[in-house]
Order: sequence, then C-alpha cells, then structure tokens
Amino acid sequence: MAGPSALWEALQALLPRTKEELKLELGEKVEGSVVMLLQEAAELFHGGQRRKCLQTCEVLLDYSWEKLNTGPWQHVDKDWRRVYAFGCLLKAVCLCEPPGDAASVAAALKACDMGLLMGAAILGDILLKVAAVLQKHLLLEYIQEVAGCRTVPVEVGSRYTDEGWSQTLMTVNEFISKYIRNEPKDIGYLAQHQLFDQIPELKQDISIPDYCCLGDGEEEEITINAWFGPQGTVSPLHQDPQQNFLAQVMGRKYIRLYSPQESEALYPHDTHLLHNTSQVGLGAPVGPPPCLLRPDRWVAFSPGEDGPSRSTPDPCTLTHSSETPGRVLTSGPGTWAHPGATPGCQGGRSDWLTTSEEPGHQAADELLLQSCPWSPHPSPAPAPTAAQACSEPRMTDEERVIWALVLKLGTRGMFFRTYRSLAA
Amino acid sequence: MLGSRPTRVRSELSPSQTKKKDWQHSSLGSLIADPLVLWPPRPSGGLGTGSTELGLNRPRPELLEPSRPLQPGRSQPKTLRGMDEERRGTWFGFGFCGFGQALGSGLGRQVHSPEPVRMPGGSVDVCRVSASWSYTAFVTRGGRVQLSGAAGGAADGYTDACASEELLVLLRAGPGAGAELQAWAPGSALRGEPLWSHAVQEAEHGPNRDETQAGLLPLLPCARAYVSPRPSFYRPLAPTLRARRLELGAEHALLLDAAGQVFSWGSGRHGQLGHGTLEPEPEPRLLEALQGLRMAEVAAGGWHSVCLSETGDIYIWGWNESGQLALPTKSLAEDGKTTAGEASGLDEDGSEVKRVSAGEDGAPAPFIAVQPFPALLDLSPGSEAVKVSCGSRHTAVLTRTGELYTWGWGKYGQLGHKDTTTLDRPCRVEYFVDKQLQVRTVSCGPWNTYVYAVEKEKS
Repeated sequence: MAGPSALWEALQALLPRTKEELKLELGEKVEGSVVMLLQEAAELFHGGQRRKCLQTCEVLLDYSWEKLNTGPWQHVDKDWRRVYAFGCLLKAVCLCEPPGDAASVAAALKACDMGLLMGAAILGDILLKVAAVLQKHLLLEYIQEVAGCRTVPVEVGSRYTDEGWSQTLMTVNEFISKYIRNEPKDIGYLAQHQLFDQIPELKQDISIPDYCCLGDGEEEEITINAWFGPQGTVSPLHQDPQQNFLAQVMGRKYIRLYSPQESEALYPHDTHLLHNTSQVGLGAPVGPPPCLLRPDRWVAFSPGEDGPSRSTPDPCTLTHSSETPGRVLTSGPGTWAHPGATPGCQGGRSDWLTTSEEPGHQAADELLLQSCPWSPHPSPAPAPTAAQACSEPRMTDEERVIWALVLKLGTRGMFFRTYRSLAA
Repeated sequence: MLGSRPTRVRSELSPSQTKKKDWQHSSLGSLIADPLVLWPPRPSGGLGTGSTELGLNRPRPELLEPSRPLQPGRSQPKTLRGMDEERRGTWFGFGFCGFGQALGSGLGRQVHSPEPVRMPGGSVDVCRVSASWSYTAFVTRGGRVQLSGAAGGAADGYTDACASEELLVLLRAGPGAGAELQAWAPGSALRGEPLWSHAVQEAEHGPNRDETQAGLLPLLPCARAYVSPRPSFYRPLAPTLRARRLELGAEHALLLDAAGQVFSWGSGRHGQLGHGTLEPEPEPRLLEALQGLRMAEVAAGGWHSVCLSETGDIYIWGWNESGQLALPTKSLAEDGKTTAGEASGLDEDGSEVKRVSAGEDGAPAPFIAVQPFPALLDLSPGSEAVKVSCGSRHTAVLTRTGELYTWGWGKYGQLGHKDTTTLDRPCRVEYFVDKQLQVRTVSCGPWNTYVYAVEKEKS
C-alpha cells in the first residue's frame, strides 16, 4: 500500500530542507557536549543513517530527561526542553522510515507526544504538525484495516447546492486513496452516513455520552452519522430540526451558527427539498470579516448579489472552531449551521462567511461554556421545542443566543447522535 | 593478634609519615599526598619484581581509612607483612562511552561487560577515576591528570580530580605550604589558565589529620568546604561537621562525618535526603534514622543516596524509578521484568525460577517509587559491603570478598551484566568471578562504571 512511503514523504515535507536549518539556537545552559550531539544527530539524519540517528536521539533524550527532572519544573531551563523536543522529533521521524509498520508509527506518535508533553516548541511547532500527520496516518490505517473493503456513499462536488454535485458509491479504501491521500483533485465527502450501523466494529470503538439519552425522544430516533472528508469540505448553511452533538475526531472544523430567530435573514430556499437550506453563500467570497455577537451590526442582504452590502454585517450568532480533536459542539433544534472549510486553509472552498480568522474565538468558547446548562455557571432556560423551518421559536431575549455545550472529551472516535428535542 | 592491628596501622602509617616517605621516594619528585599509599613506597613500581607495569599495590580497602576499626577475622594484607607477592591490578570500565572516553574497547557507544581501560599514552598508573557524562578524568600516582572523551588534555602536578560537565576541579599540590584548588572549563584541554583557583589550607593537626587526603573531592582536604559545579563553587562547611567524605547528587548533598554520622541537604523532592519527607533542607541535617549506627561510606546518585555501615550493611533511599534502590519498581513490572524481592531459588529441574514477591496475603509486593527514609538492603547472606558508588540512576557495591554487585538503570550497559537490562535487584557482576579477579575499588560516572580489580590470591 502507498501508506508508509506517503507518510514518509508527508513527514519529509514538514522538516527543514537542509541540515543547517535543522538546528536549535541554544543558550549557555546547554553544554558543548550536548550541542555536539545535536549536530551529530542532524547530520546522521540528513545522511540517511536512521539507526545511528536513533541511537544519538536516545542519548539526547536520556540526558535532557535528567535535566528536566532536576529542580522544580518551573526552573527547568527552556533550552533543555527544546533539546528534548528535538530528540523526540528526530526519533519520531526516524521510526517512520519505510517500510514502517503500525507499531513503529505508534511508537513515533508516542515520541511526538512525549515531546509535546515535556518539551518546548521548536522549529515552528513542528511536533504538532508531525503528530497530526502521524495520527491521521494511524487513523487511516486503522479505518482501512477495519472497513477498507466496505462500500459507502460519497458525495463528490463542493456542496450539495452545486450543479456538479453527485453521490456515488465506492469502497472505503477507494475513498481514502482518491479523496484523502495523494493530493486529491476533487472534493469527496463521506457525509452524513450511518457508518456505525453499517460497520458495528467501528461502533465498538466509540462510547456514547450519557447525556445523549436525556431527551424525550425514543431511543430508535437517535441516529449516529459519520462525516469523513479532506480539508475543504463545506456544507451550506442549513437548519436542523434536531438536537445535535458534533464531536471532532480528527482535524479542524470551522462552523458558523445562527439563531433560529434569524431564519428570515438567512433566506431559506422556497423549494420543499431545500427548505432548510439558506440561499446565502452563492456569491463569490467578498465582504468584511464577519462579526460576532454585535447586534448593532446585523446585515440584511438579498440573494443573487455578489455579497452583502457593507453597511450591514451578518447575523452570525456564534462560531465554533475546534482546534483540537475531542471537542464536542451541541446545538439546539432549529439552529442554522454552516460547517465550512477551516479559515485560511489552502485549496479549500470557503465563502464570504468563513474566509477570515475569527478574532472573537476565545470569546466564543467562553460564551459557550457559560451558557451551557451543565456547567457550574447559571444555566439558561431549557431549549424550546423543535422549531418548524422558518418559523420563529419562542425564545426570550436572553435565550436568543444559541446555547451550546463544548466539552473536552479527550477520547478518540467520538461521533455524535442526534435526537429530537429536549423537554420544553 | 588481629585486634591489635588497628593501632599498629595508625601509628606506623600515619599520613604525615607516609608523606615524608613519598617525598623521599617518589620518582617524579613531586609531592604525592596519596592516602592510599600506606605501605612502603615502591621505588620502581613493584616489590621485588621490578615491574613498571600498571600494578597498584593496594592494601585492602578497609585499611584506607584508618579511622575505621578493623574487624576481627579479616585476613591480613600481605602488604603490611612486607609484600611477598605482588598484587597487580587493572582498571576496567563498562557503560556509556558515547564521547570516546576511555572505557575499554570503546566499540560503539556502549560497553556492556567489563573491559580493561585503555588509556591514551600507554599504560599508566591510575589511582583515581572521576567520570563525568561526556569525559573521564584519570589521576595517576605520578600526579598526572589525563582527560578522555569530549574533553581532552593532560597536566602534571595534581593529586585529585572531580569531573563534571560544567567544571573540572583539580587539586594541585602547590609550591610551598599550601595546596591549590583549580577549576577548569572542561573544553580548555587544561591549557591556559583555570577559570579560578583557590588556595587550600592544610588540614589542622589533630584528629582531623587523617582527612588530609586526596581522593576526597568534592570535599576539600581541609574539610572546611566543598566544591560544587554550580555557583557558588566554593561552599564552606561548618567546622562542627568534621566532614570526612562528601558526595553530590543532582540536587542534593551527603556528608559523612568523623563519627560515622550522615548529614544530607538540598532538594528532597525524590526522598533523596532520607528524612522521611519530600521537603528540601537548606542546611546539613543529621539523618536521625541512622543514629546509633556508624557509617563508613556514603555515595550519592542523581536522585538517590546510599551509605554503608561499619558492619557492612547497606542503607539506601531516594528515587527508585529505575530500581536503583533495589526495590520493586513499576516501570519494570510494566515491562514484565521486575524480579525484586523474589525468593529466587531453583525449581525442581534446577532451572532458576523468578517469582514476583508476594505479600502476606499473596498479593504482589507494592511498587516503590520513592523511599524517603533509609531502607536496609541485603545483598546476599553473609556478605559485607565495603565500598559503594552511584551513577545517575544506578548503584554499585563492593563486598569484602571482592565481589561487585550492580543494579538500577542499565540501558547503556553500566551494570556490566553483558546486556542493557535495567534491574531492580542486586546482581553480581560475574565477569570478575569468572576471571578470578577481586574488585577493590568502584567509581561510577553518571552512565558508566569504573572498577579496579586485582588477581585473586592463590591461597
């Protein structure tokens, strides 16, 4: 399989090109003997001598580990932590030399994690990037192992409102090979598919939070969908009558959320098929950066234009951007959601709603936590009953904000269930 | 007869007298205040054999510290009777040598089984070894300091060395009255000038006179101060302490006084101070747990401490993350390798059986990460420990009968058991038994071990 060499190339792409760049600027605390070893490790690495490089890395790791354990943590010189991180980096990459097996890659990921836990940032946070690549590789390997030959529906095309959009069937292996690895040409999205019902082995890997059973609806009405795609997948702005918990397993997702009360401003389609889909976003990406929670800057616009007029901002209530896997977003019934490409990602299709970094990110998270009914903060009133599309739900002014819960679950393989409504 | 030996040793071979003899007979003409030379000096390196080879004619270790009373039952060293047989010894090394420091063959970066140390410049007369992580300092009987590894160079006129990554501290027999303490940057190759130097006062006359011995660094001969690789480098000690021996760990210090009491100070985060808590101690504090027992030796590892009583018992405390306390450690159990505390016996078919030790109710013995006060350790029935040295995370103990036991972190072969296994129970280094060698001295670097051994007496 193309796996190990694709992984190797992906890792090489992250590392500095030259041996000279693969170095750390260190202060006097780090002794000359250690500096010698760092240089030797870099040379061995660039010279292709992986085994010897690994040996040198072990020495670097063992020695810097001792420094990290000398004195209180806050007094440990940051340079020693950077030396440790450097050793972890080269160790991790060396372990992934083809032909690697899953055990080596897992060991490499562990080395990355040790570097992230105990080390300090080096070479532009390279360990984070390496860890992401490794994790993705491991997850893909695992999924292919468990479900590779299974046939699943895949959406091809940027969004389901486009003309060129279509659905097709292919195996998981084909999907990963064509649309996940190897520089895909099109966007393929394994979207909204009840994968865990189809492949119960995968369902065994996830645990469903107890709070998903707090609703009034029947157990059978709970559905678990999987969303699996490359970067750049977009679902147009749409409204969902169900209560949702969206859990991020891997990667980042940027989502804009709108209150049901803004339905009118979001111009849902007239057709029955697309009555829950907004017409917004058909134009080219233009417009000022969206704002967050500034009622004085609501926008009104009409579809068909290139974008909103500059005089009125957009009514986006909330954004959710999960930086790390393991975060869960819950949204009440009737919420408008626009899961889009990560802001600023290359090659991703993003419309005017999602092009820029949201400065109010932190504020969003804090707000989410504060309004969560399960948080220690005072909780708002319970959510209303499921709203009909385009109708205004009965919410007080205080409840205008879509309450959302963000939890750090910290587990892999968490997907989500949806269910009808909480008690009124 | 044996009981009268101690006094005879002291009166005949008091340091001041040996010093004079050394002046008279030293081939190099420089003052050698070598405390180990307690026998008539060798005019040409041997007694009767005329050999100038490496041999060190050392008496047994217990005679090196005259303040320690001899035990009845010890056989007499031939040296005191007037050496009718030369006892030539060799230095061996094993463990990490990733910087090319002399440690045996030095093949690869690690030596897993003891190998004779090959010194640059041919065989020399090494009497003291101080190993840092990336280099080793050898001091010869002729007063030459030889560096090997990441730091190189050599110089004459020194009696003691204390090597660390930050600093190389040397004790020079100064011209005239006083000796001099010098601190060098290891990278200087001993050329140019030291970073700083400090005149060291002679020891006072009186009971402390025995402490005017080289081989005491980081404790200074006057016992009034010690040297630290970190500022402030020169650290005075309260005179009331009557220090006999001082050892430095990564974050703590141990002191053995003339009365056999042990003091500790520094950081206690890993229980290395032995006072039963994890609190630091700013000043030397007496180890109350050992009161009533006279200690003969102390050694400090990175985060652990060991001392030996005059009766040969081992007391050990501190961090046990690699089994360096010879107590069961979780990390090895997770690898399925812990064997500490077992009743290792032979099975019916004669194969050695390793069983995890069981508590009274049959449950496995608890793991010990930190031992904050001294624990008594049994090497093997009837053995007496006479010397101890600690690396960063391993321990080496020498018995009266010349056997070497090592345990703790073994990743670089520093335990000498021909592999890189980390052990949480004491194991004898079989190499010396197989070669019929008796180990006389052990000196650990952070990740390696140097050992001096002589051929066994043919009785």
